Amino acid sequence: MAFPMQHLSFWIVVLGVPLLVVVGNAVARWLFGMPHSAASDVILAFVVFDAAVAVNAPEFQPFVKYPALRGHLVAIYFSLAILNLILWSVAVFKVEHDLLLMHNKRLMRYTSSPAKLLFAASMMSIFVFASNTIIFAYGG
Amino acid sequence: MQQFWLVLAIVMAAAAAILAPISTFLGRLSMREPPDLRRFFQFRHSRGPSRLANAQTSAMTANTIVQKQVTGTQSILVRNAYAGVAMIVQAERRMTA
Repeated sequence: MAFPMQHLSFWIVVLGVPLLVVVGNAVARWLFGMPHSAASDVILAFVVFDAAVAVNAPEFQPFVKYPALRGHLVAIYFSLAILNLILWSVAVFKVEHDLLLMHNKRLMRYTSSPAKLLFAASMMSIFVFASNTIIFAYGG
Repeated sequence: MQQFWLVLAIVMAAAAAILAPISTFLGRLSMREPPDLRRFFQFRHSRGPSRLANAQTSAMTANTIVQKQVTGTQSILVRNAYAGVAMIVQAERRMTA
């Protein structure tokens, strides 16, 4: 298992793009004085993606890079859908709720640093991005 | 399969290492007042009209007057669309000249 330049596309798909999206979202929200989000919508989008992959597994199987996993696509994406729904509930009812409570609507900014919540929200988003795309990005 | 979990763990460890300082920075940034974007862009636009902008404005006015004389008064949507097309034609002519 090596991670030099030949795996650059893997790292871009699994880590680079999600990082750019997450950081870009946070900066844009700060610029417009909006509270940060916990990426609950992104997680829901991946739940739909999981359902699509599970239902149309035969069509997706050729794109799975690790041959041993091709026959288990339904089970994997069914499990991922459940996991994503759990993460969604944490994102909405805990992280996003706390982020909203910390945001001062009148001043259009946070009065105390939401770094921990931002870290938790970003890690959740990147986990969802990575876990749902890794099967198509790594292996072979 | 074991390898897959290891790869996912490495990805998440790398994400955590990168996100920790970024989150701290974004946390500090979130406590600062955001810049007034509207004022910033207005300032940029009101730096004194350039010669090109002046030429475009006069061309747009002239074209609107001509259009009014030819076709009469029309809705704002049609007039703006006409002015937009006139601007594009003017710019193209200027580029090809």
